[in-house]
Amino acid sequence: MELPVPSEVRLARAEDLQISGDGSVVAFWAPPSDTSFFWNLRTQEVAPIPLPSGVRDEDVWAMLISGDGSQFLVNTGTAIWRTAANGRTSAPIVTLPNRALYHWAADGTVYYGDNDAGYRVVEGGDPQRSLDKDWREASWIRPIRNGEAILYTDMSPGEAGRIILLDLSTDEDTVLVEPGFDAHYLESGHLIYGGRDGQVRAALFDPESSEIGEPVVVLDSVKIEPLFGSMVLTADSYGTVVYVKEAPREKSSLNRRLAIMDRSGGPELVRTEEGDIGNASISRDGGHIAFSRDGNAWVVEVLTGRTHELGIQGQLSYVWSPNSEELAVGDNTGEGTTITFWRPDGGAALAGLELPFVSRHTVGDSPVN
Amino acid sequence: MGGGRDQTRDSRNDSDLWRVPTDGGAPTPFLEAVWSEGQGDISPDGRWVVFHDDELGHNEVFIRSYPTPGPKIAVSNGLGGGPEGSPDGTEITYGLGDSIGAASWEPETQTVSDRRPLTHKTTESGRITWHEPATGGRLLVVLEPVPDEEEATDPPEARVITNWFEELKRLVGN
Repeated sequence: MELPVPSEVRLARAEDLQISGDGSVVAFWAPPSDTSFFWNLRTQEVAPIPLPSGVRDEDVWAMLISGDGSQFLVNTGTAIWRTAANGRTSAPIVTLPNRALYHWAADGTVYYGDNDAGYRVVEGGDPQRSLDKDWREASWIRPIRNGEAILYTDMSPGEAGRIILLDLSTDEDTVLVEPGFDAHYLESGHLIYGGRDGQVRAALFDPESSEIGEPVVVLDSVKIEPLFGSMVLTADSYGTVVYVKEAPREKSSLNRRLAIMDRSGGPELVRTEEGDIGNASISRDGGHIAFSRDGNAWVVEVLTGRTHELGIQGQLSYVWSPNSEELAVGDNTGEGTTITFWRPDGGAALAGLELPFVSRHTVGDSPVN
Repeated sequence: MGGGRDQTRDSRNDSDLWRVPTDGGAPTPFLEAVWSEGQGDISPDGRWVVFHDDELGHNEVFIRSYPTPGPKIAVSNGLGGGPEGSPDGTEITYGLGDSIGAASWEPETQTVSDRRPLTHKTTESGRITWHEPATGGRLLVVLEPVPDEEEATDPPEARVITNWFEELKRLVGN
């Protein structure tokens, strides 16, 4: 059954959507005011989440809602606070976390973590390091099986997302879904997860055996939050789901084009074929533009519109040398990065560098001392 | 050129900025803090690097001297990421939510001024998905079509569905 949404609930632009385990309260963050709100589904009350004294809306980095919807955890980047809908605020549960909030269990245990480890803490206690794992590419980390296992998404570069179950007793990873991201395990025994097409799929899932059934599309056109790519969707333990449905879009990414824009907003189009154009870089003399189209590296001469393909494909990034005579192309394979150097008018690669991993590179003239 | 070109890179471990000589040699760290630094861009004169870091819990844009890092000079003010320096080294552009922000940079006095939103990412010509400063104060952009007018007036809708588990069981089984 679909419930009406009060007009003051501006979920259309909401992000970081969460529903309490009992389905009574929805919490969400809404730009442009950068304010976190709660919405009581039973009373229809909508109000800003009270923040601890001295904490501003823009300080809130992440939050969690308690199982009964009466309290919230607020991570300001320097501390995790507990605050109640009635305005009462605790002392910080943990100071200096600067870490992601994962989960707030029914017994009051809070799970949080950084790139290298996960921690759990009970208010008034000392944090316990509970997970030693390389979390650098992990997103949407959710404890399941009463904290005996972790559900997360591996978002390694070049990957479309792999949903993985980590058994904490054996430290064994099991890949459940690929591609997919932002998985939730529901009390109904279903695993739901998102796809880049905005479709949400569900499959029967047994968290004890890690057996997973055939996925079925159960929701269409769910909004994908732009900053972190999460689904704007939340579900409680009893079968209430709150989400934002976005009008289906054309595959506009296939129709991207390069342009040079002046300060008045008027574009001077560069003559390239439309396509799935990703990043691009213009040489400092303005003569050439390197760009990715459909995953392949291209260079266009701005004056003539003449293009040529470099003959490499992958997760590519481009940087021009200060004198505009060479182009450095980085290719991230997920395992490492190769940087090759090219002349703007074509020809074979001049030289190459093999590096462990580079997410972005730039070229300077300074001597290496 | 000096003793060899060098590149800054983000290491996988902590998203730090590293330097590597392009004519051979081992990479060495340039900025290696416990927080993440990224998107380094060396100025045309090779004396400055603009980058973002998340020391404050969110990305902000800074500039530091190069190759010996001096004090951090704030470029953005409240939020900013993905900085790029202009070809003449006097302007820095960066992502600023739904806009592209810009700030003027005076290297001699080491002063950042005139912080301002440059353009909204959604323009009459399309939505900007990538940008980089070009010569003459222009911007190189990648544009994608915006939804047509009818689609644009059809805002996202919030949905609240109860008893969804029954629907899941019907569609997926139990």
